[in-house]
Amino acid sequence: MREKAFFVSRAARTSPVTDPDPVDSPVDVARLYRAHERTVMRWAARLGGPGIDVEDVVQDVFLVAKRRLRSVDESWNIQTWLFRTTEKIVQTARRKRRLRQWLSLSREPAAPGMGAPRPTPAEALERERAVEEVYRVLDRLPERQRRVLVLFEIEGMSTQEIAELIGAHVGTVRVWLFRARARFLEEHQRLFQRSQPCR
Amino acid sequence: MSMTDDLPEPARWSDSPPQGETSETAEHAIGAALRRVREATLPSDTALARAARRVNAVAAPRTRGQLIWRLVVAAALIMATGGAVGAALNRWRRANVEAPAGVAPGANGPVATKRAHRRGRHGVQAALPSPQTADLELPVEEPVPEFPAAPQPPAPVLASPTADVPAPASAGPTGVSALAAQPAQPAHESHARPAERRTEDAAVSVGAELVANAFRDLRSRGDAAGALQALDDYDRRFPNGVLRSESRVARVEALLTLDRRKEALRLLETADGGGALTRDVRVTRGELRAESNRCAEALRDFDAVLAARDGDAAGGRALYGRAGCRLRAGDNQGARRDLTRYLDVHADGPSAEAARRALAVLP
Repeated sequence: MREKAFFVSRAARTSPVTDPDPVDSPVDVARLYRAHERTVMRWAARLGGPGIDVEDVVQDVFLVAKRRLRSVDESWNIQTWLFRTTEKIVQTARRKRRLRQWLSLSREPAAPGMGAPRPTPAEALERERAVEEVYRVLDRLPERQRRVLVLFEIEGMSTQEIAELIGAHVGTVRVWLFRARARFLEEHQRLFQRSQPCR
Repeated sequence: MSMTDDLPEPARWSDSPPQGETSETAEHAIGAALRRVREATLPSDTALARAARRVNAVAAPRTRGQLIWRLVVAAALIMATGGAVGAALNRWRRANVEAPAGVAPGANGPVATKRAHRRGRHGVQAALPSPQTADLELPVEEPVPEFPAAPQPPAPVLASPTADVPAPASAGPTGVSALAAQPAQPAHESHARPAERRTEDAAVSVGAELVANAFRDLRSRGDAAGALQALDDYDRRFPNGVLRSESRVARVEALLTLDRRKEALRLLETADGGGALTRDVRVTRGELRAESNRCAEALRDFDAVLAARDGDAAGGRALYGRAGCRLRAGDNQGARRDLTRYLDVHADGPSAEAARRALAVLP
């Protein structure tokens, strides 16, 4: 029932289904997986950051889909559902990771094999360091701002697409994005003591 | 539509020109880092294949049996937790609830009596004896002389049972600590509601502590006056409490210690609840009756004690006491038989020397 209420949210009703490969009813999870595996894995990696077991998240997302999705309504946005489910699972995983870090009083390294093959060890190291820095700052942002910034800057979605995906007004998304960028800069400077002037 | 909807899409930091082409700003540096994150988080084919295998491996839905099993385990856990919490609360309540003044007579019943004795033994320094088995369970703190330490002249002593009645100390722990067995409470009165039962339990706990304090004052500290005070407190708060028989025995013991023998006898006179007195209490009452020149009643007590056996301490005291009463009544032969038997069974008894002297002078 909760999913149903979510699916018929305002954004979902007013926007076309963005899934390029619409899923017929009843839900075929294998087909759903084939259509969205890459997207879900990308979301998981980008929302979660280093330390998240991306494959674990993907597996959980599609298990939830298999358990809960009995049918797909025309008005439903399956991609929105997948995103919300991915986001929730990632949030849970991040909470667990934070707890583990707190208990062990240590920082976990970036997730191994998170991304594409690395050309050279130096570049890989540089990229790992960059990823860690970005997520250290992102983790200091409120959840809403963090999500919007990840989708806009890393996922490369437009504010309109983000609004459709998360079921919010496009103006609201832009406000969140503006605040997120300001906060990101502030936290980045605070963390890494960058003194370059901002435009 | 709000004003922000008409605004152009903001430029992405991650779309900024690579570092070095323009003046380096924080946004450029961040943009470069974001581009690296974008590349690093692109899913590889191997990762996708691994994820696909994992999804397929665990795709089987849960069966109804698994769900039922989980429900059963959850219910069991909830019940166990609830039970533990309830028991803890119960224990806390018992330990903290103030007892009301007086408990309804007979409202405790045999169950509550059992609880009281259990609590008395384990919770209140194991000082309370059990009515039925007190003479077996209570530890004997010291050998109890049945007669005064100073030897009495044989003939006059025996001729005058008054002088032979045990001194206060003789009716000490062993003599009186054995409780008068009280008749069981009516069974139907034990069916109290749980809330009432809890209140009764709390009252029994407080009462048991008062009586235990009395016994401790009396036996460990020798403070008979303090014991009487504790017993007065108990009787005032629980006039019909389940421990009233224990209270009475403790009071008799305290009164004898204070040499208030007539009061002790009066108390024992009212203790014949259905005739179920223990041997020690009964022989003490016989001795006190003989002391008060009520030999006919005393002989009934001695006879009742000796009807069972005469080899224990109570039997010895009964033999010696009955000999005294028979001498007063002019039954010299009967007195001789009792004294001879006494010396046969209790040759080293506390009254052995007095018995020998009496036999020597008997006609």
